[in-house]
Amino acid sequence: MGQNGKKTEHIVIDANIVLSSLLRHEGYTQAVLSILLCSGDVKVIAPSGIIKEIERHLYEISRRSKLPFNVVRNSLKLILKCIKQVREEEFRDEILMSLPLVKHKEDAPLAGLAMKYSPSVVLTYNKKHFESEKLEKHGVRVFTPRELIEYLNLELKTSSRLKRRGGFLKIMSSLLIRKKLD
Amino acid sequence: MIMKNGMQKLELEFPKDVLEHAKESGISIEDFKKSLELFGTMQLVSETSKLSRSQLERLSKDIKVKAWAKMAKRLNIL
Repeated sequence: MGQNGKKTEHIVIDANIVLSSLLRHEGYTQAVLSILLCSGDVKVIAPSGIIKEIERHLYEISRRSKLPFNVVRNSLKLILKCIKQVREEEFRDEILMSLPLVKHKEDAPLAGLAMKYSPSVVLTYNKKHFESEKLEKHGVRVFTPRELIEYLNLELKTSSRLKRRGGFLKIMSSLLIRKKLD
Repeated sequence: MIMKNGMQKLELEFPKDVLEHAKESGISIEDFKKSLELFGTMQLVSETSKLSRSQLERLSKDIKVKAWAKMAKRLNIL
């Protein structure tokens, strides 16, 4: 739950989560993302500039990952079409407000977008790059994929639809953990 | 079956009782199918990716730095 008991409906996704879901064999991120992107309960959003820049880097992503270009392009397309892009013009003021709340200015659009759609969540691997406590005062929580699972479980008490998805999420996560243990 | 849009259909079989139970429990089979498609794509592609965690972080930072530079210029920030 966000501040004032309002339910979190927007999740701002960092570039490292998008890339990691496709280029690193990390079951948690993949499970979380595949459920969130297909869920009607929350909207996954990102600054349009970051999504466009990911698209401009397709050749580089393909070269560095040693994956065929078409595989990278088509699979990223599948992921990116589920992410709502928001133009930075729509949250310019929030970007400026969030500059003191991030360690690197390039993360300000993520924090700014989350502030615009507060109560919201920033999903990232670089939690240390955000002033989490200060952002929380603006209704923004910063989570890693693993933390988001716990957070969603907390929200289960108030949402039966999320509860069902939470169940699915738990099942997929436990399958992946078992696979790792095997 | 190969589709016109370059996609290929993969048929998956689930026990009928399991699917009926899921439906009765209020699970949307459509949402489940979409999630599985996405999850399967991610798993298949990432299995053969050679990108290390540090390479991924550098790439991700590079993307965000470039996006920031373009946006800051366009919106006249800093």
